[in-house]
Amino acid sequence: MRALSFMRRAPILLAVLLGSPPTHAGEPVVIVHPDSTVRSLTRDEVINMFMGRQKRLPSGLVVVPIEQAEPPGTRARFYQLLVGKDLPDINAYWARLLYSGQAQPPRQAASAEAVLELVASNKAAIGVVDSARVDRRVRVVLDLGK
Amino acid sequence: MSLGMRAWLTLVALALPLAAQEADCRVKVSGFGTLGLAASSSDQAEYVREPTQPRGVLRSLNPSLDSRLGLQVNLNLGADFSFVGQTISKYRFDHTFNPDISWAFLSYKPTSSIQARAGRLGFDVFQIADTRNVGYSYLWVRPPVDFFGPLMLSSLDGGDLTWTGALDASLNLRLKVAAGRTASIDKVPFDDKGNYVPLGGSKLFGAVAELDWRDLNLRVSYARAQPSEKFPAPITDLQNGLNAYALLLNDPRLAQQAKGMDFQENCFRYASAGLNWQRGPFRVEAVGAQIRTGDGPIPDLKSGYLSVGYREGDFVPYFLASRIVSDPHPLYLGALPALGPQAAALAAGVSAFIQHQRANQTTLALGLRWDFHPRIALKVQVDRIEGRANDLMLWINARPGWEGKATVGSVTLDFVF
Repeated sequence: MRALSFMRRAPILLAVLLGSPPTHAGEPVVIVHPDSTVRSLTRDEVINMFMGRQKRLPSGLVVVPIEQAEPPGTRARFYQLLVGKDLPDINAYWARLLYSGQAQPPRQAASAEAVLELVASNKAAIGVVDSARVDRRVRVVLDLGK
Repeated sequence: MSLGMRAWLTLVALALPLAAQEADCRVKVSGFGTLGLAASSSDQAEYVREPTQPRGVLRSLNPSLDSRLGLQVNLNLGADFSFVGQTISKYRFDHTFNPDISWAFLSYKPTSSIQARAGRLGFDVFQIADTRNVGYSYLWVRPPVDFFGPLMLSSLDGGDLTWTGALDASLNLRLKVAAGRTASIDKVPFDDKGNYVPLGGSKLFGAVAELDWRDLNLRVSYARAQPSEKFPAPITDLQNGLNAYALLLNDPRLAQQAKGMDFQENCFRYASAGLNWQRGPFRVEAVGAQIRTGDGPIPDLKSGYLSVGYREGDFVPYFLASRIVSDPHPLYLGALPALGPQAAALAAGVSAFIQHQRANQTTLALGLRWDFHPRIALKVQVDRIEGRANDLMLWINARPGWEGKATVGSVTLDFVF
C-alpha cells in the first residue's frame, strides 16, 4: 500500500526535485509547454484569455486556452478562484458570447491527462489542471491557489 | 423545403470544402433551444413576446410564444479568419416555424485589438439584443417584452468594426460601429389576411461603446434605421383616403398627416444606456432606451428594465420590472370624424393604426431559474402587466372590454448543445 501511494506521488516529487515552482496540491494551476515563450501570466491576463476577451499575447502569439471537462470539480474551482463565478454562470456567459458570434469558449479536453497531452504537444496551448497532476511535460505559469 | 432552409444548406455545402482545405481548421457545430409553455389570465387580448408573432397567448397553454431552436456552425480558418453561420426556427409572421438565417459572416481579426466582420450580422444596439433567442444565456423566461418588443430588427446585412483595448489590467474598452441594411427576415404581421410590415432593407448605422471593469459592464449605444419599404396596402389605403379628403376639404394638414404615416418618412433613432453587475451570488441589470421616429403621428417610445437576481447553489430567484411609455405625436383628423360614415370610418382607421404604434405599460415579474444540469435550465416566471387598454403595440386582437391588464405564467426549458 505504502509503495503504491508513493508511486502515485512520484511525478510530483520528481517535479519538485526538478525545480518546478511549488504548488498547492488540489488547486487549479495554469500550465504551458516547457518551451513556451510565456514565462508567467497575471490573473488578469488569464481572465482575458479564458473569458474570450483576448487570445493574443503582446508578443503576437495567439494562445489556445484548454480546460478540463471531467471531472467538473477542477473547472468549477478554477472559475470560482479566477472570477468568483459558478459553472452555470460561466456556461450562460459563454452561450451569450458564442451565439452572438463574438467568441468561442476554451477548447475542452476530456480529462487532466488529455489537457497535459495537448499542452505538452502545442506551444500555443494554455491549460488548466489540478496542481497534483502537473509533471515535467508542462510548466506552471500561474497558481491560482496561492 | 423553405427558402431559408435551402439557403442554409447551400451555405453549409459551400463552407465545408473551404474548411477541408485549411490545415488547422476546426469546424464546430452547436445549438441552443427553448421549450416553453405560457398562459394568460385574460381572454380579451393576446400576449406576444415580440410583435413579429402573428398570434399570442390567451387562457390556454401556448407553446409557440417562447419555443425556438437554433443551430450554429463555427469555422476557424487559420489564426485571423473565421466564419459563423446560424439559423433559428421560431414562430414567425406567417404562422410557421420556418427557419431563417440569422448570422452568416466572415470575421477577420488581424491584431489583438481589431475585428472586422462582413455578411449577415447580429444587431446588438441594445444589450443582449443579439442573443435574445438564446434563453440559456439569460436569467428570465424571455427578455422583457416592454423593452425588446419595439426592437424588432434582429439581423443586418453589412459590416462592423470592433476595437477592443485594455486601458488598465482590469479595465477593457470596446468600441464598435456597424453599417448596412436590415435583413429581410424581420416581418411584422399586420392582419390575418397575410399583410405584413417588411422591416428589411432599412439603411442602418449603429455605434456601441462598452466598458468592462471587474464585475461591472457599462454600455451606451446609438443606431438609426431609415426604412426603404412601404407599409402594407391597408395603411397605404388610409393614406390615399387622407390625401383624397385633403383635396376635397382643401385641408393640407390631412395630406401632411398622410405623409407622416409613410414608413419611409420615419427615420428610427435608437439610443440606449445600461449596466450589468455581477458579484458572487448577486446580479443586477438595468437598461434604459429611447426610440425616436419622424415628424408624423407615429409616437416616440421610452423604455427600461431592472433585473435583480441572487444565486443560491443551482437556483436563482429573480425580480424583473420593466416599463414602456409612448410620447404621442399629435394626430390631426380635421373634420373627418363628423363628415359622414365613410370619412368617420377613415378617421377611425387612422386612429386604430396609431393605437397599434403606441405602448404604455408596466410589467412586474418574479421568477426562478434552476440549473439542474450543466447545459439545461428550467425556469418558471409570473408576469403582471398593467397598461393603457388603448395602446396596442404589444397586444394582438384586443376585444371590446380589454382593460390592459393581465397575468402571464410561463415555464421554459432552455438548453445548449
